[in-house]
Amino acid sequence: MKKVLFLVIPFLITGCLHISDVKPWEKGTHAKETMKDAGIDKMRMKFDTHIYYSKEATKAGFGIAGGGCGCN
Amino acid sequence: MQLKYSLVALACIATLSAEDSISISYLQYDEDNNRVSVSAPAIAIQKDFGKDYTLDVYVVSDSVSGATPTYVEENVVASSGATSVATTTSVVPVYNQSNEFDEVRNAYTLNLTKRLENRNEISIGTTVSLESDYYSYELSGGYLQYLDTAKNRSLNYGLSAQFNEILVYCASSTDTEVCDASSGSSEAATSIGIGTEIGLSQILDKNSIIKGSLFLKYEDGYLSNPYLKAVKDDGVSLTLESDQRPDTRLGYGAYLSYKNAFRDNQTFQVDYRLYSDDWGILSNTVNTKYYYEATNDLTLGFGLRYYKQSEADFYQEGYFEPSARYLSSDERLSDFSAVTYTFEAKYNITDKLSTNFSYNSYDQSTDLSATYYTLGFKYKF
Repeated sequence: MKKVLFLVIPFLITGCLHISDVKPWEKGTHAKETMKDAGIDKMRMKFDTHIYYSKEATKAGFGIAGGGCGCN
Repeated sequence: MQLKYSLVALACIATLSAEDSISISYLQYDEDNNRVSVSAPAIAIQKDFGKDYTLDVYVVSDSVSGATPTYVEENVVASSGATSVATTTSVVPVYNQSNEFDEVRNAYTLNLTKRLENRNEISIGTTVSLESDYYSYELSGGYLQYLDTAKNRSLNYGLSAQFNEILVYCASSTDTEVCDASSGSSEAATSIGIGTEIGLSQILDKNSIIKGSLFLKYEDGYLSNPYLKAVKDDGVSLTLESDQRPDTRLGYGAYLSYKNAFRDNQTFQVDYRLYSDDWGILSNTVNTKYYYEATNDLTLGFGLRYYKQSEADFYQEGYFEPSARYLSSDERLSDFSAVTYTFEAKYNITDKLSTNFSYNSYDQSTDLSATYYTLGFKYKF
């Protein structure tokens, strides 16, 4: 039950927040690189992901694709 | 009113016709105490075909060298006897910090995104990763579905399937399931992985967005590390055994991120990931980033990441009981925490050409510490 609660938390939070009606012409800030998951360098995020995948035991939650490795 | 529609049209065009780009980047990763070093040049190309298709290509080549600590067999000579010295040689397992290796990994990723008439997106992708002793093939697919006409809320679904082939060297292996120890030949073991994810994204206002997702990954097959050893102690002698892990693994978790541009030129990002699996690993990750746009052309970034995991049920630092079914002394399965500090910068050299640099420091509560640098260029066309 505790695990189920943990898993629904993201949806509860996103569903309960105050939300403004943002028009398409008001999304200039959202188009900036600094507002993207990868930040200002998408390739650095790929390197980060690969390093964490090979040095830590967490094997999911990096996004849906990525490929495997025999990482020593 | 006409101006309003013109602005909408401009915004839509800007969204639909993302610029094509080619990026090159170089990673230099070095662990302390002469452990692993990685040099990795990479190239990424993004190309639009009309307003409905985008192709992403990513190629990376990792040259990995160094040493991973593990148990190895070592000859020990003992002498005894007062008048005539007798010597005996025995093989004992010792923890060796310099179990050296040197290899290259090449990975190729292709991803095609198709935008539908309602601007929902379908994507399919494939990744092939090749090493001398490890081959991995992956297929993935995703669907992005907007839930409102203003496109402020969206759901995304993803599914991936991975097939891995691992060459297990048998010369000193006792794992008879995957290799023929008597002949010393190497044999290929396999594993599969199935991953799925569902996420919700919501624009909160003009300057902030929140995302949440649930993910799950199932692996089946050879999940041990063919290079690592563990030691069994029966009270009389020590024997070196292959790293032996369960042949299935089910991991799942949740991810939440929040981004806020709290000033015109300053943005804060924070994300949290919870992960758990049936090997007994429970991990928490908090990642924060702060971006400062110092000028129109220069952006600085600072990052702090904290990670903590519990140990796997079958992990042990020392020796195992003779009856132990699973055995691993891989410190990556131990209880540890890790902190990463990041500094990054991006500079627009011209309207089309930019360069970026990052310095990262990674410290685990185990003996592992590393620094890595990235340097790259991006050209828009």
